[in-house]
Amino acid sequence: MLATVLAGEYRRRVQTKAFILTTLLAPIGMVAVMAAAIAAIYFSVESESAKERRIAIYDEGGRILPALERQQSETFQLLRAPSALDDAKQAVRDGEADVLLVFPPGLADAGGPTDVSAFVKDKQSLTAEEALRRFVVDVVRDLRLAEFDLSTRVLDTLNEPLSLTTIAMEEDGGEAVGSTAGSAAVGLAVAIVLLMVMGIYGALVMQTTMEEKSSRMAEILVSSVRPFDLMMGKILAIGGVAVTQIAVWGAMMLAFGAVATAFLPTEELTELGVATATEGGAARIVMPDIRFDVVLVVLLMLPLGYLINGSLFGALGAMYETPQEAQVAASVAMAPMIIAMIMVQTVALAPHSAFVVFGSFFPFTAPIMLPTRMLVSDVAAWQVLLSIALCAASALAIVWVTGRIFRGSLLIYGKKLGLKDLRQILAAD
Amino acid sequence: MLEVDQVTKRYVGTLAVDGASLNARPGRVLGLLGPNGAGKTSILRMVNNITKPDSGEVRLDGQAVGRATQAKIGYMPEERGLYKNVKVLDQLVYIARLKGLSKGDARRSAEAWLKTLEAESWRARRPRELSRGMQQKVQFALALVHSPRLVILDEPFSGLDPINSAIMEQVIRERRDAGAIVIFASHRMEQVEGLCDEICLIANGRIVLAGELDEVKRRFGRDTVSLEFEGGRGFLERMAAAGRIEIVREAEGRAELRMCDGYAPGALLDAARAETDAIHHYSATYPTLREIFLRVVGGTDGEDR
Repeated sequence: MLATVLAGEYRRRVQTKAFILTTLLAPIGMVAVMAAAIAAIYFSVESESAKERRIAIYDEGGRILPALERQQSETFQLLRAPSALDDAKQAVRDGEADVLLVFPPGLADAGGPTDVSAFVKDKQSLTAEEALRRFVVDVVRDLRLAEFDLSTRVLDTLNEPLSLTTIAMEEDGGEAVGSTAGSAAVGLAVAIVLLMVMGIYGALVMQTTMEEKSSRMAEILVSSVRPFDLMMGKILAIGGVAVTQIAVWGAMMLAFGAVATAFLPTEELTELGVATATEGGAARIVMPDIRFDVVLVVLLMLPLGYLINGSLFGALGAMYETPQEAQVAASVAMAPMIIAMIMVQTVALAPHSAFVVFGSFFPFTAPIMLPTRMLVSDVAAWQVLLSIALCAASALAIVWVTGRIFRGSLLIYGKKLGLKDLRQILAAD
Repeated sequence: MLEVDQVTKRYVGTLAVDGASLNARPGRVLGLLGPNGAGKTSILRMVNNITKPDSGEVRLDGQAVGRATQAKIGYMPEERGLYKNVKVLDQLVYIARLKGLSKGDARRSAEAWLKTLEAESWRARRPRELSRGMQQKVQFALALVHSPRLVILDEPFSGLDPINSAIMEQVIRERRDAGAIVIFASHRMEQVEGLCDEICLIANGRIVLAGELDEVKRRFGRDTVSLEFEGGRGFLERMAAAGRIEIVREAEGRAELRMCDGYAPGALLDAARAETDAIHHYSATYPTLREIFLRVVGGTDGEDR
C-alpha cells in the first residue's frame, strides 16, 4: 500500500505544470541572478579602479612628501596641497582634488599622533575608503620603518603573510588538519541544505495535506489506506520529487558552469577575488578532510531530518484551515533547525558542553549538530548510533501521529483542532 | 451481511450515535434515512473504519471491520472528493490500486466503469474541467471501481439531473442483483423510496424505525388519501376542524390528507363529490416515508434543514 501511495503521489506531483516549470525555470533564474551579481561586482570594481583619484597631501611635518616623491602610487594621483589649510580644503570643494589628506607632524615618533584626517567632498564608497586607509597605513609605516634604517630584506620578511593551521591530535596517534571554522562550515552547510529543503518541500507536504483535506479526497483515502502508509507515502513521494528536482538543477548548474567558464573572463574575476581575500587579511578557513563516517551520518541524517520535519509540516497542514495560519505555525516549527544552525559555531567551540551533547541527540537538532560534533571531537560509536536510532524512531512516531491527525481532522471539518480533539484523535483506534 | 451492533460514538461534547443497531443483507438495498446531523455519516464512517465506535461492534460478513474489510467496501462520501488536477482515469486506477487491485485489473475495471456510466470520453479530462454532475459520476465510479462487496453511497443523487440519476439507479440495482450489499444514506426521503428494499430511520443518533419498506408502510396503514380536484375547498377546512382529517400538504387543487382514527376514506370522497366541481384523482395509499418519519420523530425535526 505504501508503495502504491508513494508511486501515485510522486506521479501526481511530477506531472503538474508547476513542477515542470519550476524545475526548468528556477536554475535559469538563479543563473541570471548570479550573473547579474557577478557583472555588478565586476563592473563596479572596474570602474572604481579605473578612476584614478587625485589626492592632495597636506604635510604638516614635512617628512611625508619627500618620502612620497620616491614611491609613486599606482592607484592615486598625488598632488601637493596649497600651503594654507583653508586653501587646501577649498581646492577639494572646487573639485581640483578628490581627497585632502592631512598628516600631522611627528607621525614617525614614538608617542606621536596616530590620526590622519581625510577631507572629501562626496562620501566615498567602502572600497575607496579602504584603499585610502591602506595607502595611509603603508605610507606611515614605511616612514616609521625608515627611521630604523632597516634593510629591504627585513622589510620583505616582515611583510610575509602568515596563516594558522589547526591540527587535531587523535587518540590513535593520527593527526587531522582542520580548523574550528571548517567544521562549523560543514554543520552550517547541512543546516542550510535542510532548511532549504524544508522551506520548499516541507511547504509542499503541508500543501498536499491541506488540499486533500479541503478537496475532501482525504475521506476516500483514509477509508482505503492506513493513515501511516498514507502519510509516509506522501512524505517519501515529495522527498522523491525533491531528489528529482535537485538532480535536474544540479545537472543544469553544471552545464551552465561549463558554459560560463568558457565565456567569462574568469582570470580577472579570480584575481579580484584573491586580491580581496588576502589583502583583507581574513582568517584562512581550512576545510577538514573528508571523513567517511561523517559523510555517512550526513547522508542518513538528511533524510531523517526531512522525514521528521516534513511530517510535522504535514500535521500542520491537516490541523489548520488556511495556508496563512499554517505558514505561521510552520515558521515556529522551523525554529529548532534555525537554533541548531545558529548553534553550529558553539558546537565547534564547545563540543562537550551539556547543551551540545543534548542537541546532538534531540531529533529536531541532531541532523545538524551530530555531524558537526563528530568533526570537532571524538564521538563514541554508540552515541552516534543512538542519535541516529532516536531520529529514526521519532521520524516513524511523528509520521504515525501525523497520519492520525490527518484522519482525525476530517471529523472536525471547519474548525481548528483543539487539544481535546487531538487527544481523542490520537487515542482512537 | 453487514451488522452494526449496539454502536455508540461520542465526539467531544456531542453524542453522535447512541446504541444503534442495524443489518444490511446481500442482494438488498438498505436506505439509511434521517435528517442532517442525525448520525448517518457517523455510522458510515465507523463501517468504513475511519473512526472506531466507543462501544459496540461493526462486522462485515462476520469479521470485525478493520484494514481487511476496507478493501471490500466502496464508499461515496457525502462530501465529494476528487483530485482536481488528476485525469479521471488515473484517479480511478489509483483508488482501485489502493483497494488492492493489480495494476492491470485496476485499469481494466476503471475503463469498464467509465463505459458503464457513459463517461468514456472524459477519461483524460481533469475534474476541474467537468461539471458538477459529471464529477458526481466520477465519484460514483470511484466507489464501485473495485467491485466491492459493500457499496456505501452517502447522498448519491444530490445535485444530479434525472437522466444521470436514472443511470445511477440502474447501476445500483445491478450491483444489488449481483449480490452486493448496498447502503445508501439520504435525507431526501421521497427520492429513495423507489430504490430501497429496506429502510432504517435514524434521528438524534438513534434508530427509530427499521424494516422492509413495504412492511413498514403497511404498519402505518392505508390511511393517506391523495386528492386532486377543482372548485371549493371548504370541505377540507370543515373536516379538519372537526378533527376527522389532517391536511398533510395542500396546493392548488391537490391535497394529501391523513384520515384520523377510524374515519373512513369513503366519507371524505362523498364530501368532496358534493362540494367540488370535479375530482380528477382520488386514492387511498400508504403514507410516504417522509410522512412516516414525521409521525415517528414527531414535530418538525424531520424537515430538511
